[in-house]
Amino acid sequence: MYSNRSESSEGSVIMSAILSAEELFRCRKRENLSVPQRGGAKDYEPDGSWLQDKRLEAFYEEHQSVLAEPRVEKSGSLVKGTWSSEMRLVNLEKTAKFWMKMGFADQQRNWLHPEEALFLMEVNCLDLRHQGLSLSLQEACDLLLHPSCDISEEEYQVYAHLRRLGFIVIRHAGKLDVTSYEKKIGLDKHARKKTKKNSKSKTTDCAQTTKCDEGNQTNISTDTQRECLRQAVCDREPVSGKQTEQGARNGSETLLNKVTGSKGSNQPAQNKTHSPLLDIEAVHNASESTVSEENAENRSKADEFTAQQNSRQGSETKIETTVETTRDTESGEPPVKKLRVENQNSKKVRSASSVRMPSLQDPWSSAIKQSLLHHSSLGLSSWDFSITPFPDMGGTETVSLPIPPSHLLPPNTGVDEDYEDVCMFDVEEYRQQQQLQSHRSVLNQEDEYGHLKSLDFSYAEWYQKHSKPINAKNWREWKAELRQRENSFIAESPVAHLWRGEVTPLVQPTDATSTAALLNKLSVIQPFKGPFPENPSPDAVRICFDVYLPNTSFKKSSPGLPDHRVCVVRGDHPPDVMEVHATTAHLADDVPLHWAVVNCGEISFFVFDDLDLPVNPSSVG
Amino acid sequence: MVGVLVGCLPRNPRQNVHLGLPVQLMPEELSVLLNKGYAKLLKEKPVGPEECEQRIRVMEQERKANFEAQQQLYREDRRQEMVKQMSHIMEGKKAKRQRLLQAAGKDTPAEEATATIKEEEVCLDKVSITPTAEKHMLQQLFTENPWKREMRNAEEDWTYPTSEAEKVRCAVFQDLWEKQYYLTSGQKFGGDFLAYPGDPSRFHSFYIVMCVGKDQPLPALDIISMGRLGSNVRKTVLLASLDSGGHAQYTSLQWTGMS
Repeated sequence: MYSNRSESSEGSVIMSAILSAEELFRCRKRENLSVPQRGGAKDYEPDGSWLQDKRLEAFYEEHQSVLAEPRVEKSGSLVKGTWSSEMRLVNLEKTAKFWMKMGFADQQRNWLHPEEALFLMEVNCLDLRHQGLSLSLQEACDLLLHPSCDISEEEYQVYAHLRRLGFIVIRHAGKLDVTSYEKKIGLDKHARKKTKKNSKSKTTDCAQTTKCDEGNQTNISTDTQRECLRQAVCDREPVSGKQTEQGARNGSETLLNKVTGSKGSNQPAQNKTHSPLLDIEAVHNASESTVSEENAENRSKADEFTAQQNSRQGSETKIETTVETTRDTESGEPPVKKLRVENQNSKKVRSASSVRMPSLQDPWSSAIKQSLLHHSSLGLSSWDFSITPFPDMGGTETVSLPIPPSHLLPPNTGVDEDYEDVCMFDVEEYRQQQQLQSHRSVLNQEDEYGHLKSLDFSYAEWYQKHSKPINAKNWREWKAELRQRENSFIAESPVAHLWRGEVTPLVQPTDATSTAALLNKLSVIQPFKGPFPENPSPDAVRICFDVYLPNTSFKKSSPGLPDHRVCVVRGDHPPDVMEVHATTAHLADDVPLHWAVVNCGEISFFVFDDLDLPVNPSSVG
Repeated sequence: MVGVLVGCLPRNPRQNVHLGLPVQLMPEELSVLLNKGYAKLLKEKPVGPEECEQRIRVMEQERKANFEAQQQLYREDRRQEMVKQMSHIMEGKKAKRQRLLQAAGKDTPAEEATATIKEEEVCLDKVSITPTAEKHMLQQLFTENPWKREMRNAEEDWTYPTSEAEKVRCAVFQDLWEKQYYLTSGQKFGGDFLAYPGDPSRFHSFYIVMCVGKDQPLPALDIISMGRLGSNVRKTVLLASLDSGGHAQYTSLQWTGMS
């Protein structure tokens, strides 16, 4: 099959592997594209039979002929590339169909990574030259998979394996700041069209800018920052508080940090006199206050709950105080006083909210903003409890809290006229009440879990006890009457005024079936996922490739979030738990990370999944 | 020696079922080959710039000669095709002639037409065939290096069995190989090697070989998992280690119950 050539005139000798023109011509049309099947019916053991030997022989012949086929291609379908040792990349003269999914362009030249070039050579698409000489596959492997290039033999094998299956594989691009909403609508894969006037797209840019902390002031000018923020805020405002509260809260929190960050760095004193800032600030105030209200409500509820746990007393949420009012009517305590306690509680909530996020005129604002600034950069909770004034109920007899400005209160609520300047909270009285309740429970000889029994509020039971039976003639009437009762319950309850405004509470009175259900609805307690470090830890194994599904809409300029990531490890050095965790922790998105274990040419893929153990909902507290 | 194919198959490069050259050998395979003297490990010496230029010249000459030869072949091929399709060509010419004559308004008897056509048939050899463009020229992409080059023996660079575990593996491999077993990597079944009675493509493996050190403590859970694995895939698990004399000793595991 091969023709032997010996010495040429200059004395350099070519070995015997060159095909003559006739042979090349014969290879022009590949008749047989079938691939020998792997496996199939196998024999059990060699028994020396003639049949078996024949089969073996046939197999070996086929194997030999298939492997010995030469690689022949028309020179028109080959792209010429040159290996550049300084750049350790391959330079292409012109691009072909593969250019849509591979390679990159830089300084008016087209480049390919070494693994991409090697793969193209193997599929007969590229004619690689080095110093003018066309390279064979053997020489190319030597040059391109050299340790000085950052692709190793095993990594190339995994790359080729995935490419042969059809995936689009590029080098790992690092952490991408793509939110789950963007991923859902495919915004990360959308290549932004560059228009001259408005060269920034709204949300992706803002998502990127929210990444930078307050120290990074140089790159983005303040004008574009403000523009961005205004757009982002306008985008988020129409979102209703309930539905996407989580996303909006996160977004507005980052927005908040960014706002304080930018303001803190650019303008140390709040310059209200700056006219271009005013309207933005007004918008921000509105968003801030809505955000803060939600946050305040949740946090204060959480605080109250923890306070209850500590003091082992009945809860102080609005619902359950009303319960207590109705339950303890026979106790002889005047309901007026209870109502006042309730009002005070709600005032405590509101005034706590004022402490949390005061208006600009408030003297605490700068201190709080500074603490937010400082802590948001560290990635810790933005509460500096040394600066933020919390009402101290421990040592004193009465705590006086300033009345919050009226624009911070929920609509349709107001401060009781008795309290003019400050809200006075009588700590002594409060403590006495708690003691009375605890004594009562001790007298009833309830065990230490008595406080939990009082948390076992069943709305159904309570409703049954306190409502009149419905008279109805048929099922439809009964249902209608029931619905009416529910609506009127909500409308006539002492807290009905809270639903009249724009901002409504997160829970309804009818949700109060049990504390667990209430907390679940509020999503107050969530599994702690841990702080996500900004940079990969030193333990982490290097992630090699980002893999995308074979998709014609893949755009090289903005590939978006990958569908999979692949890490390559050798068979004799499997990763341990710490490495696995360290590698996945800093990425913090839902892209599965596959570990490709390569052992002498054989590749196996493994995936580690996070598992949350289910929580028994009946165990409260 | 089996080895693993790791390249793309020239016939069908974009599939993973059957790969092509090059072949990757396990380190133990190479060690055994070198020890027994069946193979040599060579490393290429770097090529100087004059040699490079020579090669370029030779390559261009070869290519040019090859392209010219190919042009001839293309031409021949085209001619043969024309001969094959002669009848169709004749019909086409006849029809065309008739159309032209009718367009010119004359009425020709059939014999005249065939006579003229016969003349044309003779002239077929003089029909000019356009030479094929260079982009259709076939080029060979070499898998192995075609140039003659100087090699040096690189056996000293091969330092494979260094740690204890690696030495055990190597010795076990050699022993089993001498016993006529075919051995491949055992990664698919969680062991070190798979031992086949014959060629791995034609037979199923009998043993999963796991190499352990002589004094290495083996947790009971590991033994259970190995036993389970063996029974599920119907292969025998062999625990191999070296005794004090350096000979390989084997223990097989069988998963049974108490009856």
